[in-house]
Amino acid sequence: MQVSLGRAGEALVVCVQESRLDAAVALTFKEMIREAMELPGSPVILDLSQVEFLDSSGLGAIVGVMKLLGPDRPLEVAALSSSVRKLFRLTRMDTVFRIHDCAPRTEAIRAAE
Amino acid sequence: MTLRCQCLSKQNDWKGGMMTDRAKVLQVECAGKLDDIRCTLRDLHRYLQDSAIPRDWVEDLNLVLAEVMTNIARHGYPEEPGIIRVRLRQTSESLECHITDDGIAFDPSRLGRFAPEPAELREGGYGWCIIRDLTRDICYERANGRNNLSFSIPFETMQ
Repeated sequence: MQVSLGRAGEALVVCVQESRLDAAVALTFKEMIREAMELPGSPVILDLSQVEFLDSSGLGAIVGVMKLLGPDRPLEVAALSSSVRKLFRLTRMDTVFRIHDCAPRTEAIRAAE
Repeated sequence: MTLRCQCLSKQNDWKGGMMTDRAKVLQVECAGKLDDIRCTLRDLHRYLQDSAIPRDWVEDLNLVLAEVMTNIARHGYPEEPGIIRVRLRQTSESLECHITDDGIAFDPSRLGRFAPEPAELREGGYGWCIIRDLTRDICYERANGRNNLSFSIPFETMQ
């Protein structure tokens, strides 16, 4: 699994380069985001445009990341596929996360950062 | 792991359009470990996407199977992964699913009746609620050392 990082204004944008965010990769995903979080930027926007499938384990990992970030650094999600959005609705997590319809336009993060 | 994606090689009719043949039955076997489940469901998803079955319904099935099979891997086969067998039968009204494993006796309905409150930010506990929301006629029984879970996904529930 890979993630790519970018900036959109003050926000840190983490794009998940993975089509299935499921139980088999949930822990790896959480670790990768934990590393990415060391870069500054708030809110943290998770670009899920590449994610076609999310299960409850993947969702649990996203919730876990939200808790790691704490209340002062919100986690938001962007570009949900119809099935991913449905999972957010079924679990009512759409009431907890700010959901952006589209992935934000980003600038690359320089290596020095 | 030789069991991985056995469904592709063992079932000759997998690629040829199993769900459109006269019996409309699809059988899939996979090892009860998370990597194998991922691989198998990805292949099943690709296969069903190319079928005449509506896309939303394929997504629901994929999610329900992922939740059920992950539960089996975690609770039924916590040490040695055995085999999970999935049988899907398409009728005019619904898709009937029957899933068996030889693992530890495990009734998934024990996992809790109520979905976690979103504001509690729980990292787990959603699986059974998802299964219950998307399926009908869920039935679990333990017989001859085997867990049997069956349910159906009616076409009219599609949104």
